[in-house]
Amino acid sequence: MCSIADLPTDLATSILVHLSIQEVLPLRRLSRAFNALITSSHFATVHLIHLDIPSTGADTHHAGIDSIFLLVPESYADAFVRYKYSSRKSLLWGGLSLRGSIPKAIGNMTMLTYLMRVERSLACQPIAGSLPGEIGMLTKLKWLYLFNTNLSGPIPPEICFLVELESLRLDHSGVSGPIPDNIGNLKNLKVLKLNGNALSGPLPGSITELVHLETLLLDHNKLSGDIPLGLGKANQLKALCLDHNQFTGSIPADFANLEKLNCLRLNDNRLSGTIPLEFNEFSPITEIVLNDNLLSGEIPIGLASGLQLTSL
Amino acid sequence: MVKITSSDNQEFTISKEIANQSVLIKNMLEDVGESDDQPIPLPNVSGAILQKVIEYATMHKDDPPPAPEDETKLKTSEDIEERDKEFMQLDQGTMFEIILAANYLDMKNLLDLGCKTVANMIKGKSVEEVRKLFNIVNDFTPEEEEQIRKENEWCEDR
Repeated sequence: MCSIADLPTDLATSILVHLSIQEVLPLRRLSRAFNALITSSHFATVHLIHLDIPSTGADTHHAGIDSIFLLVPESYADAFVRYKYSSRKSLLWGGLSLRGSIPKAIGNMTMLTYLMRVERSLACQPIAGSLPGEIGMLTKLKWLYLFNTNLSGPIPPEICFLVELESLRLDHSGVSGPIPDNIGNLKNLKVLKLNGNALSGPLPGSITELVHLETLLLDHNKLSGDIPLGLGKANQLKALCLDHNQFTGSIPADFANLEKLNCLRLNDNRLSGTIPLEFNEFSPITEIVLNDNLLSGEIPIGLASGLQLTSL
Repeated sequence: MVKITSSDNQEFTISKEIANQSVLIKNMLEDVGESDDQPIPLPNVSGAILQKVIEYATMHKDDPPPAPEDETKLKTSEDIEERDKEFMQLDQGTMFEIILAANYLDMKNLLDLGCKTVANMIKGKSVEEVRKLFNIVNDFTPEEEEQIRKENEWCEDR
């Protein structure tokens, strides 16, 4: 007797495309042959073309599809990008009901300018998995916002190809490992928030090339080594937080060049030496927190008069 | 009239409008020309299945030709005519043979009907129920199956 297993692949495909994505994917468990068919890129392509999913324009969003994009196998993600997402400029993820991960196929969404997780409710599950290196192909990206997520693994070094990036927020995202050496390539960065993660290793010297930075938050990580001299060049910097790390060495004197600074937090590190005399130059409204370090010597007179200074 | 023979040498004589519903036969007729009254051999289809296919084609011989570019209208598998539903009340073996025959004979409407009917049989069933329905052997190790279940966490709970 003829059975479904006797049908050639193209006929099995013609049958399964009448089901929705949510109905088809569980059928991967039927047998190895079905799994191979359903996860093939040909099947994903035929299925997506058959389904009546609107092709989204450059700026229109379809919350359901955008969430499914994080949940489907890579073959579907790839087909999504090629047939539904090719001109999209932004991806905004919100209200995910289940944990998904960012597919490698995202690298082909080369028109993308904004990639963000938007918070809708606290109940929604964050994005998990690692940040794929393919993200480095999105060279038009200006904003990359994946804070308060559940990522794992390192920040891919390819992120340093995103030279248009103005805002990089991976705060409280779960990333670990080193800050990529070439972070200094991101010359247009105004906001760099990597705080609240498990980043380790030294702060790359190239970070001093980010002269347009307005906010630099690297606090609450496991960063170590010296704080490189030269951050004083970023004279638009308003907030500089390196606290709760394992930095050693002395406080760079050129921090005093940061005229716009209104918050400098270096507390809870292993910094030693004296507080630079140049810190006298800071405006009295600047919040400076230096406690829980190995600092010695005298507090500069100018600072001592400021009320915001906390204990050493 | 057109003569066709099945794989088991049964001969059928059908009208041209019925024969033309198969793009394969239509093309063959155009190739051999009108005058030839040799039967057209269809070595991939048995007499019993050909009988059913002719029954379907006869039922639809007066259908208006499909409006061009109107494919979206019949996209959903729920959208099946009542007489077609009745026609597809068959045992599984016959049903799959008809799908194969429709594919071979290049009869798009019948192929669509067959595929939608099978899809509707799958809808709403658990993986275990689908396996049982179609006698599909689970050849995964429990670990492999669990891995897929995990990847499908978001769409598996039904």
